[in-house]
Amino acid sequence: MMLKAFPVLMLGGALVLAGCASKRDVLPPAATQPAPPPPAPIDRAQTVPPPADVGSRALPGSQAALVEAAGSDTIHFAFDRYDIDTEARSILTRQARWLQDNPGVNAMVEGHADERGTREYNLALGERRANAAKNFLVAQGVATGRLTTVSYGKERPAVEGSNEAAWAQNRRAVTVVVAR
Amino acid sequence: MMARILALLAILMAAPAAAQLRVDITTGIEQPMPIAVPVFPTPQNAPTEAGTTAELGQQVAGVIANDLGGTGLFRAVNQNAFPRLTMATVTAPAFEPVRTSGAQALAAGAVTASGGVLTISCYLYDLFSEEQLVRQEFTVTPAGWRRAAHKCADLIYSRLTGESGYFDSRIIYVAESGPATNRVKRLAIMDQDGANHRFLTSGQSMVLMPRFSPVDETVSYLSFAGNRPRQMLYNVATGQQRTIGDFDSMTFAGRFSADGRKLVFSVMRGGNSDIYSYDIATATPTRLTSGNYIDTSPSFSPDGRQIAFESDRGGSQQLYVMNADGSDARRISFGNGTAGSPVWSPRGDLIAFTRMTGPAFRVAVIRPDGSGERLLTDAWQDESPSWAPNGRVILFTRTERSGRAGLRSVDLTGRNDRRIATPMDASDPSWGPLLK
Amino acid sequence: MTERSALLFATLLHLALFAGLSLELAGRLPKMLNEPDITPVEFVEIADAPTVTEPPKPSMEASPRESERPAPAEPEPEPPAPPAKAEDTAPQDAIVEAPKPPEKPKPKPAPEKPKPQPKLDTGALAALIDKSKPQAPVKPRETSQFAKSIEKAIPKNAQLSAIQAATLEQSIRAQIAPCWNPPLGGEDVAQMTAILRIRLNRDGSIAAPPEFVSQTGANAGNQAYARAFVETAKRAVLRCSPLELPDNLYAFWRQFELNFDPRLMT
Repeated sequence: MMLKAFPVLMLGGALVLAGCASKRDVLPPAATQPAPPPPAPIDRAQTVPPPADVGSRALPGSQAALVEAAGSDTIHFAFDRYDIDTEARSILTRQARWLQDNPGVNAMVEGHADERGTREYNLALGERRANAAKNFLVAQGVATGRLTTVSYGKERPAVEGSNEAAWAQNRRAVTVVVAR
Repeated sequence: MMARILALLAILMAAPAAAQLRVDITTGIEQPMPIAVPVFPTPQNAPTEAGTTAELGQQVAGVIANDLGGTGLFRAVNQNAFPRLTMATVTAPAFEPVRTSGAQALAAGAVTASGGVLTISCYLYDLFSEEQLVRQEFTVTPAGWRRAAHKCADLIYSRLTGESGYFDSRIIYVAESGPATNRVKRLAIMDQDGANHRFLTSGQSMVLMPRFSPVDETVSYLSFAGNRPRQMLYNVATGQQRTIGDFDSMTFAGRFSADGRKLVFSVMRGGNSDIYSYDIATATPTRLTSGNYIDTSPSFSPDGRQIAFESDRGGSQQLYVMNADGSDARRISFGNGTAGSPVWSPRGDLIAFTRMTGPAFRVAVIRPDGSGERLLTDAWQDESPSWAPNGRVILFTRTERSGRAGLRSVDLTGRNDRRIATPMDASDPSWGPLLK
Repeated sequence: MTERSALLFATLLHLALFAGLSLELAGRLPKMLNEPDITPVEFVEIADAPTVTEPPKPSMEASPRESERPAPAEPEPEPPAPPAKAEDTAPQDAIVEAPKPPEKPKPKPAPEKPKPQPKLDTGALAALIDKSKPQAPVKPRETSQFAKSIEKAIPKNAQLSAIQAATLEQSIRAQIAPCWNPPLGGEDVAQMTAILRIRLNRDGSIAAPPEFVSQTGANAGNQAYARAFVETAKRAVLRCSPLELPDNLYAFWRQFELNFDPRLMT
């Protein structure tokens, strides 16, 4: 009889414990709503171990790899300007090195502008920025034939918003890895 | 004898004669003209592909009233305020009952169907002089009934204002959807009153700045297919298209000449953009400007002899005018801030453009010699103006701070800034020509 | 007085009057036309039996009181032959007293009747006129027969005084302007003006369609606008007729010109 009772006792104990747990976990009902159903009892025997760490490494020659190596695929510009500042220079220099280390890919440099300008002018300004970045990369030794430029003017902002912070983020040139 | 002499003397030496009374009327009341547009009667209610003629009679009146009211210069009085017209009274209306509605003019007509064709008559009466000012008849296939209504409205509008008409025309524009960071843009076309709307591209690749040819079914626009922005020539009727010239770099900002034979556009090379003209028939481009500047947004004068454009050659974005061969470029904008996207009016008297002061963009007009700059709108971001075929109304894009964008039109006097309804957000409108 | 000396005296007075009027009018009339309100004028006593010393100079202020017989002469420019004729008319109207020539230029009205409303209400004026309510030392309104004889007797070129002209003009303007919807257009139309000739019946209704006289600002290139502009002017007149104007001045508003000029409207 003792043997038979054991599982019952265990079960009963679990249920009691569950009951206690339930009581603690039941929330007081909201004023106008029925009380939510009590959460399902936790069966400690069936917990799931925490997810295993998944190590990630950018695939060679991918955009992520470029970002990893250069710190960023994007450089920024002052309002209505297309000259490469110091920070941009160091980013582009690292991008250039990565490109040379990865001869199997090409890159397209996108130029962008913030919204403060007519559509046509911003297309041209974006192209100036893309061009400036490309020229720098070429000066760093990247073969010119591996680089193309495109301007999106103000059509593809990185960030929505009509304020200085958003505008600053949108004035940019992005180096995009493309397959050969 | 003496008396007579004296009398004569008195007459001769009389003071200067009293002049006829002339009264100066120097003020009036500026208001839209109330006009009566009754339902167009039909001699016999007949079915057509576009509905019965009785239904069409109501709809034609509705299109006309809507066209006229939309100008801000007319106000259609309530149809219940005056008696319905019959076939007999359309050509011989009783004026007094219509006058009592407050209307000053009466636009009337009838719809008749026969042999698969619609005949829509169109009359205009001055309710005070009681003269018949317009008398015309239009024949269309039932599917084209709206065009007949627009043509009738154009006749009425031009007879009463002196302007040429613009209602029988279409607008091409960019329909926008999605978040700002990933906007989908498609070409779309519709009648100027929003009817007959259809999309022309799928949105798979970005499209910008469509421009209607003033003479035919061609449109020029900027396509980003394959990440290669190129100015295209696209026939709306056949769907066929080709690139303009064969350039290795971005070509953009194209506009047609008034005779539709040429296009003027910009080519980007390295860090600068130059203006080119392009002969459509021979597919020959000709370079017009050079220098390390952004020269873009060119627009022909209606006589084709000059080109207005924007350039930063002076250090900031401003408006310039040069001869059509590229010579003698001179700056014309000198106001506060910068100026861009000039568009020459089809009447030749004004150039519409975007005046930018800080982050605020407004639509403005200026004379080709640079004088008389006038702001027409005052909101957050108004840009990309486009003229109606009669040079009186300007279409433009308004972007709100929230990022929503839509089409609006404004009268040359700055009045009547109103929304043009589109199925979704919209930008870059181009007003097509008056259809024949 | 002999007829002769009376004539002489009258002639001299007339000359003095005309001279004075010419100078005064020239100086004052433009100013008066621009003023929106009639300047109150000094009162002049009118004797019980006033004598007519000059061609009728009806005063608008006096009209409600029927104190003057207006000169229904046509306002046509002609050297007037007033003195002789005016002399012949019975001194029905208390127009001007002989001894007060220098004051002629200023209308010598009876005490000015306060205007019924801030805007000159010619309706009220007309009503008063029609009711023939004489006041003070004035003869009642003339009988129609007398009016005819007056009309015949009064020379064609009797003049409106400056005040009368201004008041009449203001009345016309006040009735026409609210009916005028100038074209809402661009620069072309904003610089145009147009003159119409108006002929009215005695009851103020249109006697003939408004007649185009002349126009400024029109050229070969803006004919369509020019026509539209003139039509707005014609419509203004037709919309607001019949006009209400004082019957006793009919001679002066039987035919007149309207100059539509929107250039001051911003």
